[in-house]
Amino acid sequence: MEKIRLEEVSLSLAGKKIFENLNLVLNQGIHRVVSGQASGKSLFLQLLAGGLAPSTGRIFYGGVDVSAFCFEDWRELRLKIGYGFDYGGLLNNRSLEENLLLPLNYHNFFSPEESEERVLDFLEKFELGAVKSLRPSEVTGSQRKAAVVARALLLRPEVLVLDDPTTGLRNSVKESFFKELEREMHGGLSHLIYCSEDREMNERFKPALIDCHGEMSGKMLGETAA
Amino acid sequence: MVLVGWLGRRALAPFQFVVEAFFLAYQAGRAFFVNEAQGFRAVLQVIAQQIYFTGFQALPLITVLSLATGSLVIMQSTSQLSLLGGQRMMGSLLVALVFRELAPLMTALVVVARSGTAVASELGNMKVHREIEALELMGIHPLSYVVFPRLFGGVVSLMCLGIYFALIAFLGGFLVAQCFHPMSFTYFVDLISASLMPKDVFYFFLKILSAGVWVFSICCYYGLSVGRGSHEVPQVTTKAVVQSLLAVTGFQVILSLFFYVGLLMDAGAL
Repeated sequence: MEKIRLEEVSLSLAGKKIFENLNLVLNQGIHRVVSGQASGKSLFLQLLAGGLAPSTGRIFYGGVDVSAFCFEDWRELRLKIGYGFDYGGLLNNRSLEENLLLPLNYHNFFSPEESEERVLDFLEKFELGAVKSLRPSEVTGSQRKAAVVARALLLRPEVLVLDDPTTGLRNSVKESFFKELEREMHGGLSHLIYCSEDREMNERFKPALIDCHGEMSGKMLGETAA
Repeated sequence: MVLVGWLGRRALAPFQFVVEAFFLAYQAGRAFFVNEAQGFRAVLQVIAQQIYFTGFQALPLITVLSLATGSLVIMQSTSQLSLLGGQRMMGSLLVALVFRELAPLMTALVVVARSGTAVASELGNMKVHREIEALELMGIHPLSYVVFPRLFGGVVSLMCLGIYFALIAFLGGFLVAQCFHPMSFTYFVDLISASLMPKDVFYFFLKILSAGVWVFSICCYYGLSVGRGSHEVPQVTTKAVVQSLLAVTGFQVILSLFFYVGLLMDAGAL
């Protein structure tokens, strides 16, 4: 995917303006969203991933205007976008393995055997092999986080949007995650967009701050992205 | 003017909620049948789980209730049967009371208590824990993957439970009848089948089907109405149960009225 472009994008939720008149171009590469606390970073990431529709303005994915897309229209593009939640997002009535298998099996991405193999590989890499048959409520917060991050990477996305991906991860899992990210960056991943205060991650990936790579003429209410 | 507006909104609120709940059921069905890239196997797995929880796991409770209902109806009416025509009336009594009225109503009440609460609270918790959001972001239609299987599995389970309730209640009636009016099982079956009209079967299925649609549309609707706060889950669960009970009982009374008015019209009394 070449670029993601936001034109005069505003977002209001329950009558509260989150940001307005955002103009931004995200070229291929690694981007880090920075702004003050509770300024709408997570909502901005959800907007980019298609989880929220803008109140006004337009969003272009590689030249295609997605701002008025319904669920069915989004489907094809959504399969190219991986999203990692800052908290929650795992199905509580499914085991960790089933959580990871669900998108692969639902979309018939690979054969059932290939899906199983890929999921087991990720579970091992993210040190979840021993707890794969447990449900999210039965494992530690660190393991839940690892499962969320692993699931975001599973479909080999072109765009990866991660909300605080390393918070709570064990160092060894974090290292596996970084290696996997680097492998994907050399593969088909065109955009890595994340927000994190993790110094190790920021130094290792040297992301462009969001207004360095694009032109941010609008502002996130509360604090201008810098 | 403000008061009129307020009264109008209050009066229309229940209808608006009903329309929204049914629209949700329609959208879920549409999402399941129209969505091209459907993970049918994944959805079928959820339907099977729903049938297991709503149908299979309710069997012990339904067995006890239906045996008790059939037995009690015969026990209570035994003293009056001789006045009404003896054991020949047993079939009519069981069909009129158990098959026509109690089986659909009691099965629906059991399903509201067991599965309605479970569905509303499960969906509410899914909203709170961002599971619905996660499904959307994975390209999985929540209405197709979450709502439709619960609705379809729930209705199928309710149908099966209703039939099971009626059969076990008849059996309970037969067992108790052996103490007061001994008869062969084939004779008992003849009594029941002679009293059963096609209209009874039609209304029985109509009541069960409508109850299933009411209960699961309402419970899914309320479950998905939760915002981000877990404190909302018990509140919407209570609302879902109350509204389901009102809808199911109210609608069954209306259907029974139609049935009896139809009988009177057939008899030329109206």
